Amino acid sequence: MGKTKKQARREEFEREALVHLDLLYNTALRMTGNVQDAEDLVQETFLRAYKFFDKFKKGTNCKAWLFRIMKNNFINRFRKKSREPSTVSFEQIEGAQGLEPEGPSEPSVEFELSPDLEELVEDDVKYALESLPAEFRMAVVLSDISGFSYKEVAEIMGTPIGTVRSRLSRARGVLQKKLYDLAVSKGIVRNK
Amino acid sequence: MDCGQTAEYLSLLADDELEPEIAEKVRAHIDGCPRCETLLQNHVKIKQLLPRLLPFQKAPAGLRSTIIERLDASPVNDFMHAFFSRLRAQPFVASGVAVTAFLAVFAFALVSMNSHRLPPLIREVMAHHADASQHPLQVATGDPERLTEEISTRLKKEIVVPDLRSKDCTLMGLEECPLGERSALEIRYGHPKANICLFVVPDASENDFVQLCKPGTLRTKQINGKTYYYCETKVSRAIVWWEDDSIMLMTSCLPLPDPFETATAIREKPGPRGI
Ligand SMILES: [Zn+2]
Ligand SMILES: [Zn+2]
Repeated sequence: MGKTKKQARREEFEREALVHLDLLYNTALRMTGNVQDAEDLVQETFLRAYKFFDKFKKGTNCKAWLFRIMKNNFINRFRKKSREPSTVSFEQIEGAQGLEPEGPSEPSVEFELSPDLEELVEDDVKYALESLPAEFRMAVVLSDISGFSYKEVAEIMGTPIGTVRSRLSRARGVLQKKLYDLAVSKGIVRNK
Repeated sequence: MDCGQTAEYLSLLADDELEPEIAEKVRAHIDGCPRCETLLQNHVKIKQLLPRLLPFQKAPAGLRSTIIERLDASPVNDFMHAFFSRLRAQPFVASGVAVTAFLAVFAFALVSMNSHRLPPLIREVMAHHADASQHPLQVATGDPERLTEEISTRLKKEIVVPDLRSKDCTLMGLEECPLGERSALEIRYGHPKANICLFVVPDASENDFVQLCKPGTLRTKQINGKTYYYCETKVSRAIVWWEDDSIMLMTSCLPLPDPFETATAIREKPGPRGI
């Protein structure tokens, strides 16, 4: 007996989509900040993707498609959950001048990141990342951790590339400040 | 180019995402400006620090197989998976309901519900079961695949009949039954202590769902971003949701210590969560 249609579809899905499991998981882990939410997010993403697999255009970028699904799930589920007290407000990052991506730049961060910053540990970086609003964190994670280009990040996030630029630039600015402050408070770096 | 303009481009320069002509101009400024040079280095350091301190984590063992297992499961199975794996810590069944060996027939269980406060569709299910002490199965089979095919043929869309054997439920078959003005498919299961039925009311709009199920009057549970509505009495429970233009209604009679306690598939699921 030959393969059923269902089997064939599933095998194709495993070949095309499930091969990206590790990359999706690692990204989910950095986006959500914990193993449970990451597992949930990844499962949900693949189940949704499978449901709409027939609508996915063969030959296009499956990886980006999966990440787009994951991004939507993430925004829907976790944005509200982000921890309020340690969260930098959206306005703080976007600056008072407005939200336009090509708008005036944020005030420059006036310090030098010491090489000792590497004495910071995983938890410090996680803390700093989690303090970013979801869209900014996602831009950083997709670009710096998952290795997507600006163009791919824009495609995944469904935003113009200019928005990706400004989000990344501003997110990094905030991360610098956070990590620098952490390093100072831990005595790794002396405040000048 | 001045420091202000340069600041715009630092992050892009660190990412090597600048047009060559602009990159050249920015570099020209940076070469003569130690302050901007420092700022650029800060961007580069952050960029390098992240992957170094947050090393790549592969998906945990077992995640892949859990996903594959769930791929061909129906929404129902999926729902059960999430629902019962999460509610284990906080059981659905009110602990105050002391039950011993209980072999309620389904009809009895439903009649004992406080009927007038229930949504129309659930009342219809009750009436259906109270009336017909005999529900002849039109298709008697224990094979979920076969029933899935049968239903797909009838409804012209795929409703995957969940295989609940790991939850001690044996598939019995299918019956087409009237619920008020509508016709539904009833997928029936046998369980040592209860009857469990899944009704599919096809071609229902979201508005139909609101009219028939009065979701506002029911309790809700969010699972994976989807809302499930449920009600329970001491002896029965019903869960309804709207899925792919069908109303899905799952009923089971209580009291059961938890018919899904034996959900070995879930329980033995490997993974770091270790429930
Ligand atoms: Zn300068
Ligand atoms: Zn019936």
